[in-house]
Amino acid sequence: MTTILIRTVLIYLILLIAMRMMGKRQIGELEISDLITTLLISEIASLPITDEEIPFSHAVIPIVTLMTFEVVTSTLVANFPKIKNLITARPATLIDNGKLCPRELRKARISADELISELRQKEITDLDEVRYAILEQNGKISVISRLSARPPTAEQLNLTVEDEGLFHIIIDKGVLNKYTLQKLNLSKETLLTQLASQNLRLKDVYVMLISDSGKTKIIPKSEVK
Amino acid sequence: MKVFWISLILFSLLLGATVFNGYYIRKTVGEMQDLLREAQETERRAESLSSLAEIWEQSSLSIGFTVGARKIEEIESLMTELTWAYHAELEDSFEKNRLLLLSATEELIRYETVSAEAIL
Repeated sequence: MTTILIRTVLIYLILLIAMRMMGKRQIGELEISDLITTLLISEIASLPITDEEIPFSHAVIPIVTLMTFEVVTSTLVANFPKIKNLITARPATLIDNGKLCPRELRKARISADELISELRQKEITDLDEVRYAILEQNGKISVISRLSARPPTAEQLNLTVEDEGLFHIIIDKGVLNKYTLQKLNLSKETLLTQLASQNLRLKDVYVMLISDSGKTKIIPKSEVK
Repeated sequence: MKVFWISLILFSLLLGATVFNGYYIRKTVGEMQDLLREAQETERRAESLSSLAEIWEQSSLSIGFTVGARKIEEIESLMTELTWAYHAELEDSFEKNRLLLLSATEELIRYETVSAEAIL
């Protein structure tokens, strides 16, 4: 039983490294090859955990091999368009300029019912609102509404909106994020002074956020249950 | 591209290790099989069994990295039976275990031999 426990930990670490190397592609829903690799790896990884008779190497070898092939395939697909066309499916336009494309629907083996169901899930009930519906390579359907069906932007309404930019976590449970500090060109002293002005020390902060424009949001530990 | 090269290097190391492991198992088990054949002759039996036990003791751990525990246990059990049959001077039992051990080691070599049959 101890063997199974140790194997589980080791395989977990190997999978973590393998998934990290394969990148976000495995976590998000992307290409067919990514899905195949993920399914295979999960099956293979479980074998030596559940059966002590199976040598540990029988999981490590396939996992590393699959990881390598996945990284190599994705690198080739990213850098060579001809290989990309060979391995990945092209996006298919199911609705083009408001018109249904029955040929593409047939090729993608999607019925009109399924398409309308997808649109409903995106809160679109009227086909006239849709300019384009595209079946992406990952199997998801992207819908681009007609301009008249989209909510107006601030620019169209001649409104001036302050753009705060991104908010970054600079303090997390009392620990300063030096990477963010450097990225935003801030000094530790400035930050500590700002905290001191609110009678707070670093360890009193649950989380502190700073936006690109310099706006801050501090949540002290005392306010957190 | 860093990840690409790291993956390729890792895979190359793995491939190298796999190929070497296959070669090592075939060589070691081949030596064991030669000793088992020699053990058929009564005069060389003691020496052959002693060498066999020595080779197995030195290599069973490394062979065990890629061969299942059940197979390793099977071979160890057969070797114990073989040694017992030798000391008990039971010729039939000795020959039976010798042949079983030859068959078991043949299987090990087959696992490590790349062939269309093995792949399919």
